[in-house]
Amino acid sequence: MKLAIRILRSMLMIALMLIFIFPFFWMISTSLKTYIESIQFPPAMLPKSLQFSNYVEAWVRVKFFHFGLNSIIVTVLTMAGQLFVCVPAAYAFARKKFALSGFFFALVLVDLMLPAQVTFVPIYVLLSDFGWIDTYQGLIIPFTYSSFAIFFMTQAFKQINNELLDAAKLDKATELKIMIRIMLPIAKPYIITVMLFTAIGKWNDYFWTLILTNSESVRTLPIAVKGLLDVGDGVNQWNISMAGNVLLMAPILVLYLFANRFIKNAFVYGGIK
Amino acid sequence: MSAIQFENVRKTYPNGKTVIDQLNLEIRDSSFTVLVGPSGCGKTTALRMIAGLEDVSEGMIRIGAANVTKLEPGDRDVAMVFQNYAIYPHMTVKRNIEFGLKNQGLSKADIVRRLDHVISQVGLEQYANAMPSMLSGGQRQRIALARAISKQTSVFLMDEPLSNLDAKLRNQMRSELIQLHKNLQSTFVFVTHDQVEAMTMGTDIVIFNEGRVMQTGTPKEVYNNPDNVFVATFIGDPGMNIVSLRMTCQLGFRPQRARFTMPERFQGVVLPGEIMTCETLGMDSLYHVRTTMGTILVKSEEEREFGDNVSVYVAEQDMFFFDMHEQRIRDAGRILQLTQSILLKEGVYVAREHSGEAAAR
Repeated sequence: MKLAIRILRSMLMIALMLIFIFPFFWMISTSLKTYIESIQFPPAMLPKSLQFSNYVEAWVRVKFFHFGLNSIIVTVLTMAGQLFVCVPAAYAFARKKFALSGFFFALVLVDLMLPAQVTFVPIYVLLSDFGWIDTYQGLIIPFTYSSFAIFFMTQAFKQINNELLDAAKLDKATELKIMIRIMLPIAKPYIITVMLFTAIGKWNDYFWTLILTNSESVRTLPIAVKGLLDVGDGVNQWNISMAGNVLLMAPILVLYLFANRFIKNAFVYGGIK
Repeated sequence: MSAIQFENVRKTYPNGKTVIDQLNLEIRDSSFTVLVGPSGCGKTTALRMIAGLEDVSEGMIRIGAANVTKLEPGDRDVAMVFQNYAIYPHMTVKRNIEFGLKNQGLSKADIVRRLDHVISQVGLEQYANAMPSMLSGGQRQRIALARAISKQTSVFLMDEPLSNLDAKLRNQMRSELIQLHKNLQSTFVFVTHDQVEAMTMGTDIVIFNEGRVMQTGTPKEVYNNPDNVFVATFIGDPGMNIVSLRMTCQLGFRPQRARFTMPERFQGVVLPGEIMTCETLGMDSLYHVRTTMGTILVKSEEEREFGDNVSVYVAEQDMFFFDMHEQRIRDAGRILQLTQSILLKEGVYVAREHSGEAAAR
């Protein structure tokens, strides 16, 4: 009886895993097929011979270097900006009582609940007035503010024992030093988690980038890769498109694997109060 | 010179609650002063005000000759040890101690010298480069101590630093702290809710209740000569027995001073009663005895069983009287009058040795 339940549970887990893994498998498999294989019916699970040339073609057609560089610039600067803006904000919300602090924190929470589709028209108009459409600053500066990052880091900072801050005050540490030398290192796992979310979100961002840009000059990879679908004279070359997607995803996968290990380490060291 | 003075200090929290009102207190230079009292009595708040971690709503605090009321914690020449150690978890033992010294702007050579000195003083030489998470509770508390010692301040504040340690380690740390105080000769202010800690460690004791100082004095003074019912019942293990006398005043006596047999040259009261419970403590036992004046505690080496009928003898010189405001009555004439009046109480006898007329049963 017990064994039966365990077998059933294992099978359910395997089924779930397959559901999650299959799109990845299908993407990689398709990216290595010939065009004919990619559209044949019934579909072939695996390519007969591996067409690595698809990747070269995707790279060239997408102008990967140009858009990749844009993606890196936008993602890295957004992350840096968020650290600069959201960490002090979260520190203030977690540790200070100031005029209307409750009200402002409520605003952050409200913003957390608003979907982007509600706010994009006014934001577009605003940035258009600034002359920031089709510029790096238009893609970066508005996104250095993140309600999620502030909320998440506020919670992290609130968990830090007050005694530590008292001890730091007696150690003659300034407010800035307390934030950078005490709070940040202790909240490191949380900060890394937030930054990972930000990086993934910004790297994959399609919606905002599409709205805030008109030309190729500052556009990023997701839009360029989407363009792969339109190049074959009305014929969707799925194999090339999937190769482009694998290239788009690879950095995120690497980043995730790297950060995942780091988060675990950070939790072990940061685990005492 | 580093005596600490509270002058008319009031502390009101933003929610409107006043936890300390009209506090006037002097903590002697180089004393080991223990602030003791039940939870929420204001002792920790008082300590944190010395450190500068709590604002003073009204009044003035001096350390030595300086008015420190408005000074930042780092500028007050105080070091503090916290209940939960407050060790920076992401720094090694060495960096934990260095952090404050670097902020003070000491020279590298100075820092190294102080580090070596304090780390060996608390016996953590092997762990100088260890992360705190690798160390035990006792060792972490030593880091906190080392960090405080390294600052070489004239005032040393401790907020229940032993309460997270197990009983054996606590006893050991107690004597180490007493030793440390002797070596450093700085002013120690120690907060605890444990009167045993207060009695064993303090040169001076300040007993707090509900934001007010109930009594100050040496451990002997507050034990032998309590000013009021609160101090009488709070200090001692267990505290004093208090029984009401005809509504207007109260009689107190120590459980240790009550006897089951009549001592020689006895002069005092005798209460007939029955043993309700008996706790064996090793050398002696703690008895709950039901008498006509209520249930009282007796701590005695004499063996008695549950349910035994006993007489409890309390000598005249061991009796303390308190008025209806729970303040000690010290007037000799009034005490004599009260002693006489106990006679009138039903079921209580006043015994005079050799007089023959008294005796319990």
